[in-house]
Amino acid sequence: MSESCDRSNQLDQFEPKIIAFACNWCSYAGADLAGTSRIQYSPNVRIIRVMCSGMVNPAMILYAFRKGADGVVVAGCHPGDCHYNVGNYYAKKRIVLLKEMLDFIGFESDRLKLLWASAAEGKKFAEEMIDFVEKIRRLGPQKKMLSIPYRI
Amino acid sequence: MDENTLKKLKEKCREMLKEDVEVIIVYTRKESEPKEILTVIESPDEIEKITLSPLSANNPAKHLIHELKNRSGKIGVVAKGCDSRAIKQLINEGKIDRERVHIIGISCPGIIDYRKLITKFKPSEVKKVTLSGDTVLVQTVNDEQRIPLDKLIYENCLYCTHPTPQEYDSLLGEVREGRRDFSDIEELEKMSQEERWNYWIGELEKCIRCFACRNACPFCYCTECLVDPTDLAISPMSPAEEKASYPRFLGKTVNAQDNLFYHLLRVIHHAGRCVGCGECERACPMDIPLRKLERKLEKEVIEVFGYIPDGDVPFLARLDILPEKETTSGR
Amino acid sequence: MDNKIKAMIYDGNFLRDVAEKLLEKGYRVIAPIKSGNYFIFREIDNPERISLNFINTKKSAKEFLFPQNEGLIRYREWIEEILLDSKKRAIIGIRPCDAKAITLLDEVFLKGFKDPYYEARRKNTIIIGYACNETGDYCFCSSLGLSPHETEGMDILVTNLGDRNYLEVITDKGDEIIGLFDVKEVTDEDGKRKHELERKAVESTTRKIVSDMKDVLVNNFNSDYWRKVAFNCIGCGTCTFLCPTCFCFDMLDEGEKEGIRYRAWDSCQFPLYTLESSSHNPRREKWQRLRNRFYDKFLYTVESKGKVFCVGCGRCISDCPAGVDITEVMNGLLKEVSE
Repeated sequence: MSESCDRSNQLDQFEPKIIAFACNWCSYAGADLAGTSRIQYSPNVRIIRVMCSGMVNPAMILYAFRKGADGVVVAGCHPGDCHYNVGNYYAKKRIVLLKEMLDFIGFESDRLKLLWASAAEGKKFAEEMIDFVEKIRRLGPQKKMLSIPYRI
Repeated sequence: MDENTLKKLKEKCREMLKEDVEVIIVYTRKESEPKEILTVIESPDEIEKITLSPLSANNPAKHLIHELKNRSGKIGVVAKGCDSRAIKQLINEGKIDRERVHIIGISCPGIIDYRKLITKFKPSEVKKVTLSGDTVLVQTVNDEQRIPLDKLIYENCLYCTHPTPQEYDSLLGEVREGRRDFSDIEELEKMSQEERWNYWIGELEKCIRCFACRNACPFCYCTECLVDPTDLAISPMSPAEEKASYPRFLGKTVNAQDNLFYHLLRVIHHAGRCVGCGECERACPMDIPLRKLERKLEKEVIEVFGYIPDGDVPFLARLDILPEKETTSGR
Repeated sequence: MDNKIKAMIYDGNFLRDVAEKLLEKGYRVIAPIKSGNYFIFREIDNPERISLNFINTKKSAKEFLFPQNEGLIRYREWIEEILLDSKKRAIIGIRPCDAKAITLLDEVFLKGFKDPYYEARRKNTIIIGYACNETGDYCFCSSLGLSPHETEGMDILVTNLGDRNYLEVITDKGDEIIGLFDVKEVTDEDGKRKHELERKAVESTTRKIVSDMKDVLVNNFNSDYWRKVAFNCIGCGTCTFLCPTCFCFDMLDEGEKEGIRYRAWDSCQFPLYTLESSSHNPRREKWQRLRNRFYDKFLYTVESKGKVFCVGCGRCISDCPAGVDITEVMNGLLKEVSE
């Protein structure tokens, strides 16, 4: 931490870009609650509202990494509480397998996180986000899957 | 796969054509080289075209779906162990009507890698390739050579779980045991993260995105593939904005990262469905080890979820399966 | 143009030495190297890596004149940059069939409307070929009127006579390069040996194709033969991507506020190739697309450019996953028609 005190220019510090897919009924409402309760958490997280965590396709996650996201969070309802009954089970299976495959090919699978947060857990949502942002900040910028044709 | 089985196969086909089967999908030899391809026979005078040898590599499952659509009668098909598993899985997924299919199961000792064969022989000089026990007999224009099967076998066949078909109407060949062996995947897992990344990037740099792997796989039948939609859902009434803003996850840029995107995505869609026929790796013109990715996925599905890909209910729909234990990488 | 071919002898491995000289002069040298179980063209910086122990490379050399991805323009608010590539290149160790294929690509990209991207690359590329002293099982260039020692499309052709190289200089560019080396006069024995090698290579070709199929093709467009032939085909793009003369491409834009317009290889075997904006697709079925490939190579290009767009390299046969064979298809059509 002494390093950041020495630096007079805050912009030198790496600010990760996090994409969070939050399900409409639970985790998005939880994020909303964090907002209305004025609970501060890192502004690095950009939330995308989806109807259910089960609709998050591995293609969307990999696309986020391809476009330069440093971390991706998929947030859904607790098991058994899904608004569509079983969507979060599908999400769990998919994300677990995707993490294994990403690890197998040598990509840091820590950059992908699966989070269960209900609509009443505003504080928990904020805390998890802060933790995740710090973890990604330590891992550094994501360069492996980055592929933007016109930058090359 | 030996002469005896071929004779019995020919008799069986003759019988079937006389009874209720409209056509049979069988293997036949190409004219200019000993490679075997699939063909359709309709009448008993085409029986002599049938071959069955350790070179009968192609998986007829996708062709079976196509023929079922184009014809109205019963269709016979010659299926090895892996082909029969593919057909069974396709029946579970609703793509094949079991009543309309007559499966001739062949118990398979393993298939010869054609590319390995032509490093030892000139294709135009090879007249016949047959199997006798564990030895491959290659008859050339000059002489006959005997080579042990494991010198020429496909690497994928060494890890075969079901050499003997489990879904069939008639069975030829002696029953064999399969085995589940993930030792080469475990070797790769032991490498460090950087080594693994460099290995896969090195392999995927070779990919030319010809989509041979996707088209050869019996389970890649989506008409709107995520990376290359083959059947865009547009109509004459679609407005221009809709057509212009059609979501495209991947363009046609061909570099190691985008190839990784495509292959990883393709493999994830086969969780719990891949039967291990190896068509993807055989079809690839650039020799990319695609089976390693698929088998890693199979290993995870078995070890983390405890699900053996044989059941009737698709893996993703099984609600009673959640990770039983920690993932193998501890995440 | 071909009366000017000059022949000479070089003592040593010309391809390796010319690679070294061109690297010194700042050229990007592209030569075949061994990668895994096959050979492939790569940009090299060490002439020792060149490996010539092959019948033909896995991919053709067209990707250096017509890359799989080629940026056309970069844009921000308006066109920022037109991405022409004029680097000096030398393709070394290319086989006569692939070099002839480059002249066929010239017909497409340089006649009529001149493609500026292709033109910039072509003008700055030197082509030094390596003649075939033996043909592979998939080669059939001689049935198409070509020779394994063909010089068309090259600046210099190198034939390996064993301990020395027989050089044929075809163009002025080649002449300049030869000026940097010590060469000897050709003796009668050298000439005889070269002709012997050429004759042996032609005679060892086992695969044949009937190439003059114009009338047969015109009359059999709707034949059921094409459905039979397409039974095996899986509809991938392997034949078109490995083919040295296939040139179809798609243009895509990527990026919103700033981005790039690029062109990428497309294949007539992909279903989206002929999908029209009205959602009508004239080649909706796989057999129609497969039929199109043979018609394009042996009829449509003959009608519009006067040349058969096949050079007999055989890559589409050896690497087709399903076993579709262009020679068997064309010969089979003739047999079927005559029955």
